[in-house]
Amino acid sequence: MSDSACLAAIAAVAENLAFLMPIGPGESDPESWRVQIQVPWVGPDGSRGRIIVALDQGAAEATAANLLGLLPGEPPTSQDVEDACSEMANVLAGNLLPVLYGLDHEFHLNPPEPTAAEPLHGPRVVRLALVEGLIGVSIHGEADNSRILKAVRPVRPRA
Amino acid sequence: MAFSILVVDDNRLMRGMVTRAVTMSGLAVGTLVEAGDGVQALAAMRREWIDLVLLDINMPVMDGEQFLTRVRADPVLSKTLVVVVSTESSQPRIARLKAMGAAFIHKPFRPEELVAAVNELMAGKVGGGT
Repeated sequence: MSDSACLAAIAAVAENLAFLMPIGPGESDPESWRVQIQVPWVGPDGSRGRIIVALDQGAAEATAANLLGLLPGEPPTSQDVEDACSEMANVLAGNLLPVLYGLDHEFHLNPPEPTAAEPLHGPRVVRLALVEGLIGVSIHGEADNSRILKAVRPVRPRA
Repeated sequence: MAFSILVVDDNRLMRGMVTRAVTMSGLAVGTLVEAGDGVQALAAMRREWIDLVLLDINMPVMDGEQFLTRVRADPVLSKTLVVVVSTESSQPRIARLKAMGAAFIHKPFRPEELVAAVNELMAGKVGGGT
């Protein structure tokens, strides 16, 4: 699955869940992420992975303010920011897994876990620039494992 | 008819968002109750009459699917209207939830989708579990 499909899914969630305004692909990590949340998942045939969602200061605070319906100039608390970004990560993970693997298989998402903010790395990193800031997503999993791909996308015999 | 509504989600901000969506939806709302997981939700339903449950799936302690199974097995609670509000996209799991008589809307959602789901339940168009 292409990065552009992932980017489109991230943009749709940012826009529809947190009323953020996507601009396009982000080039690189900011100096530092404000919040980083990981969502571990378990999929078919014992496959496992995690989706890490990072938000810079602007994106994190705008997400919290919009989810809470805060007035302009009313700053969210640190707990608000963490809770809002956790839900953003949860919804992003739920929306990205079917983009990556299709709709026919069940994935169980573990509760979002805040982690130490660090530069994003991994087999696939996608960044979305917003008017408000930047969201980065790092996708880790067993998707490159042919055994898992076979379980996720069964090969159908040709007619 | 004013609905007594139970919003079940482990994230307090999402409970707030769903509650705001309910109030914006135009549904006649009586009481609004919140719960953070399936166990709290069952306790709330045994404490007071609930017409409509808006239910997340991925929650700690007791998830939404376990909760729905318990509700449908309870003779007093089994007819309660349930709308699953979740990031879930797995078609087999969604089919299972619908077979238990729940409507389904995908997060993120718009208030009008919530109204459509409730209307679908009221018209008896969902599932066959109740």
